[in-house]
Amino acid sequence: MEEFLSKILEKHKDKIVKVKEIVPWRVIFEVPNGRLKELAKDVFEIHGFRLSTISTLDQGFYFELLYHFVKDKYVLTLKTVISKENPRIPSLTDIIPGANWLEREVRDLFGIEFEGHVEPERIVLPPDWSLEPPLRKPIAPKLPPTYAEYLVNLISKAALASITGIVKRRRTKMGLPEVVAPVLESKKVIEEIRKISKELEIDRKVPVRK
Amino acid sequence: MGTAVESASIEVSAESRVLVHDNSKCTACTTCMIACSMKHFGVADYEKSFIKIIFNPVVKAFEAAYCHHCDEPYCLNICPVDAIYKDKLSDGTVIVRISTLKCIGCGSCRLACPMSIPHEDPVMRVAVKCDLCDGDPECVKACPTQALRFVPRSEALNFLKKVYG
Amino acid sequence: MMLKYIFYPGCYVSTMLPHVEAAIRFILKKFNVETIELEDLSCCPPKINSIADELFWLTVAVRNLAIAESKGLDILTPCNGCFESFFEAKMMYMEGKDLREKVSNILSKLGYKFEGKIKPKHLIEVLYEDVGLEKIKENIVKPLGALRVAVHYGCHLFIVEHGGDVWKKPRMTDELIKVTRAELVRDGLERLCCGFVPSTVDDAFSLTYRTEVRLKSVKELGVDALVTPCPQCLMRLEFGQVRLRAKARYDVPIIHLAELLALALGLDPKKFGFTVYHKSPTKLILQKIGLG
Repeated sequence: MEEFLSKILEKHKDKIVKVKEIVPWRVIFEVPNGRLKELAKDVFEIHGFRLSTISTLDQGFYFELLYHFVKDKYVLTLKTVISKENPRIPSLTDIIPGANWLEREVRDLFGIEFEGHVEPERIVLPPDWSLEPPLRKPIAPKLPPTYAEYLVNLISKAALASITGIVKRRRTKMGLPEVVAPVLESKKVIEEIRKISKELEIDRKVPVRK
Repeated sequence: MGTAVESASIEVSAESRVLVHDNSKCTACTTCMIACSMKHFGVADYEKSFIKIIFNPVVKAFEAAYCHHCDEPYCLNICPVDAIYKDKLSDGTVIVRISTLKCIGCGSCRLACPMSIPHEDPVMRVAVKCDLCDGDPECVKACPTQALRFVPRSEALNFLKKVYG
Repeated sequence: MMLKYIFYPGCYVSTMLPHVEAAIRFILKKFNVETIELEDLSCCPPKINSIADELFWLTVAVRNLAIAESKGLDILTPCNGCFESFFEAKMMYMEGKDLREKVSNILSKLGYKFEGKIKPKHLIEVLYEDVGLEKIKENIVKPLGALRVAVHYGCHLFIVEHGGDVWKKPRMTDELIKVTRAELVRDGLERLCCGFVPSTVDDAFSLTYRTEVRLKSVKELGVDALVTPCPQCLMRLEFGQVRLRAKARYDVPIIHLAELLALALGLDPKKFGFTVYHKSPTKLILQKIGLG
């Protein structure tokens, strides 16, 4: 590692958990997500790096955020990891104004919330985008939120369907009773099926599978 | 859950249960396929089902193609990102699963599998396959003729030896 | 001893196949089987519902069984679907302790209780086991020796308790056909699905690879009729022929087992609309046996 970079490492030893050297002038410092802002501030304001870009990786259980800082030939990458359950990280926009668009892009595409962003509006996606963040990997198949409609439809088609007039005529012609269970449209039966469906809360949300 | 490499050493015992299909009882009603896709995807769609009923012209019967949860799965060994792992349930049943979080959807598992069981889900863009419904397969419950059964491996082996020699 | 059942025709037989219901009622009356109809019974409901909500399906099905149990009578149904639903519901209710508790909790709030004392019976079981083959044989007034028939069992007729003999009820069906003296011809595809269940997912696929396969095979046999104990199979195979007409004409008369028996037992075919309400050319059967 070149001296200029090792000096920074020496200064912030307490914040950096892991160091990876690709070439002597390009290194990756891994930092806990709570301390990233302190280090970035120092790197930007004192050492004179500029924020080149922010790249994000969906690693399944977590997101990997890579802040690439550049000065002359030196490239310093600050790497941090945030959980998928709570994808939040403090915004750098108050110290590095140039992070504005970069953070908004990551927010749009991965759904990571940058807390304290100065201009939290959409940049890549249309403002009325209502679907999942497009680059985020889906975890489980999309099950319908409820089967209630499907079930009630099916039961009502079978049990509570009325016999048409033509069938009624046919039936009486053959000496059969005009209607017969289970197609009676009996109010009592409908009421009881409703009660059962209420009791079982069939309109509850289907649990999300692991 | 350990890593995929660690989980590969999970031994499959004879009590471990597995699906077995009897083509002499199957009526090809495809209720199992409907049950499977309803359970996993909430739609009745043959393409999405993990079990497939297909006509076998050699023996002139309907056969089911389903994941056998192999002892030494090719898919587990070939996966470049270690997304496939073995999982052991409390009753000894071993399930070979694909982690949708890790999978990159490259399709290697499909090429490696002798029966091409894992298939890519177009929505999730990852490989998906049978997970035995976590030890309570819906297809077995739906089968009206008991052609599909969920039995210990030793019994399944005996049965298949008898049928296919 | 007089046989007594709760008659549950199911939605298909009562709304779309009244001629089959008439035949069934005629047979039951002939053998002095008393039937009761209860207004409180609801949809069975179809077993496929259990995929969406197992508990809901089980509760509604067990509710019907509980009502029957309160009368102390077995349920008699001519529908394979209803039979499967009740049979599986009883099996699951008696075997699964957790499920039983949950279901009985809900049912007790509505004032129902089920202990598994009664059982659902398919029409075939009633005719074969309770009425008896001998008695049917004695009552045959019009032997159908001139007819060559094929049989289509319907998937849900195979339902039995775990490890039971799945061919028990299909064999009973064969016996019941033979008792009319009709010749039973086999093509090895008797257990093939008619295409009713697959049609809910992919109608074109089911029509080509299930319904048409079976119709073609029966046509090649050159039989006079295809007999089925299942109302859904009956409808699927009949409407399948109508829809396939543009492609090929099959013209295989499809009749319900009860209709075959009713003919042999002397029911006047004109009285129950034998030729009128069928979509397949059932007239050919009457010509063959000299009634048309």
